[in-house]
Amino acid sequence: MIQADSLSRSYGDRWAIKDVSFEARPGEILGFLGPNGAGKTTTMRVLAGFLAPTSGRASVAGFDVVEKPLEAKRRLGYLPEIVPLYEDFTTREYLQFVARLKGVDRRKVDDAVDQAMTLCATTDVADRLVRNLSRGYRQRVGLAHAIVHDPPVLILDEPTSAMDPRQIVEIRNVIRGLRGTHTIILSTHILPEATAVCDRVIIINEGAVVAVDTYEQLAARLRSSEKTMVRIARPDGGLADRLRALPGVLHVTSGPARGELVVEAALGKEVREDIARAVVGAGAGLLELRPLAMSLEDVFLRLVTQEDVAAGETEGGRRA
Amino acid sequence: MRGTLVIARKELKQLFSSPIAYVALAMFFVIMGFLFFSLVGVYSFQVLQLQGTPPPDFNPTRLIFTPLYQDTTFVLILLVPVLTMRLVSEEDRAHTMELLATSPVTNAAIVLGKYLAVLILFFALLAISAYMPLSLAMIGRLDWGLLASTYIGLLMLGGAFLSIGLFASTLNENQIVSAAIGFALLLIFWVLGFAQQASGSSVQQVLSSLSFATHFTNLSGGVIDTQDVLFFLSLAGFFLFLGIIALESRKWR
Repeated sequence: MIQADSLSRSYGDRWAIKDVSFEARPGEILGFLGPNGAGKTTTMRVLAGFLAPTSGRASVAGFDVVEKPLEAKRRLGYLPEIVPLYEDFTTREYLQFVARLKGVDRRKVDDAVDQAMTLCATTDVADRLVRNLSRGYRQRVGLAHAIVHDPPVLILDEPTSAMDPRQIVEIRNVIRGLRGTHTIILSTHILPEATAVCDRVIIINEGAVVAVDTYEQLAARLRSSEKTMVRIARPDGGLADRLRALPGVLHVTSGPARGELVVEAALGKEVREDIARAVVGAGAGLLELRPLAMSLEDVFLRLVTQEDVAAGETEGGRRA
Repeated sequence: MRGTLVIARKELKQLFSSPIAYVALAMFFVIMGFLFFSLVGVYSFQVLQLQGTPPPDFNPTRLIFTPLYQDTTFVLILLVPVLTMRLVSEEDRAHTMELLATSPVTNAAIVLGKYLAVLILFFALLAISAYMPLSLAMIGRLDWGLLASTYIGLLMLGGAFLSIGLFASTLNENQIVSAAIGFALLLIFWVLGFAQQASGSSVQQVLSSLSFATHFTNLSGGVIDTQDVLFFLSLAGFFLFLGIIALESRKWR
């Protein structure tokens, strides 16, 4: 539904994105992750037809964004990073204007606006002036403006910024509700968001795509060993050495808190059973035993920073 | 076409929900009212002096309305940039241009929609200003042909002015700067008429045919020459075209 084919865009002699290719399949939610200045907004602006690509091609719903801009734009809902609002309008007037602008049939404008307002929970500010809305509401009105003409393709640039945690959950539910019927690209700074709503993530850094995959696959690809965290009641007594001697175990290091050990084993080797037996056998008092997965933060940092981050230091049990 | 109308409607709504339109219109009518008042005063004084034996070309239309509408053009040089300065600049400042530019409307529709809105406002302004000749028509006879020609001239002139102001607004996201650019452009076209007196005959002809003043003087004198009408129309078309190009070029910057 959305296709980018070695897209490049330069500002003067600085390349904002270079040779970016990816594809969003119909009905999926694709997350766009990257540090500030990585080229997320530029990529989205090119897809939305706000900027022309310096080279490469992009298409939305099968229409080339340069050659058939009107056809592509008709099928696209775009929420820019800074929500484009007319301060002098009420929420309803604003959405009515957007619906007409996007080519919604005259008789269906009111219904489309009502539906978008209900979906984005902005009905109670329908007759308030946009200038008086809180940031959370502005963001939601922004989302409503992107979906008011019910486009098959949505491009959302940081849709949950400036919202409080409860609103974020609500908006995520709205976006999840659109999955299947809409193809969505969303960019975010908040990494847990990508795992919460996206089917796949694209990690972009310094204008280039670093990785495209599901979060699980990315984590698996980057993982070099299986890690297990062991917490015991009585750490003294040479348990670490006994664990180190187990078959398949590569390293044993002490964890951040007292009584915590991180056991690293070869990839694909299941050692938890052996560890448990060893700990119990030593009478060290087993309190906790759990596998350490890479969080998306770790994946992200691994991919966007050149040096190999010492995984043991950043890994936690949190799989957001 | 549809996009043009949607945008024009939005612009009109915005114009009248901000104080700018009201302030501009109020200023315009205060100044016009004062000019009208003093010209009528001068005219009645002359009537008294002539004691009922007027020369053949002594008529109120030529003595009151021709100078009145000549002065109007100066007021418009100041008024038009104020009306047009926010058209595109404000969209840039509020980042709403990103909405317009990613909607299924062409840049031409955006520019024409905005132009249509200010043109309608300007038309309303001219229509309201008709109270001046109409009030005099109740107590005297006016030269309607001359007035019609003058109003056609004002409409043409206003249309060209507005397109220049709109173009100026596409150049900058600061409204004040846009107004200043618009004002400067309008003034340049106006003073071209002055400069012709100080130059050689061939240059003179070029300068005078580029000046607003020359063409408007013909129309406000009761002569509807296709040359003058074409001048204003092509000027409006040219600056609207530049405005569309200015929006188009942003995509590639």
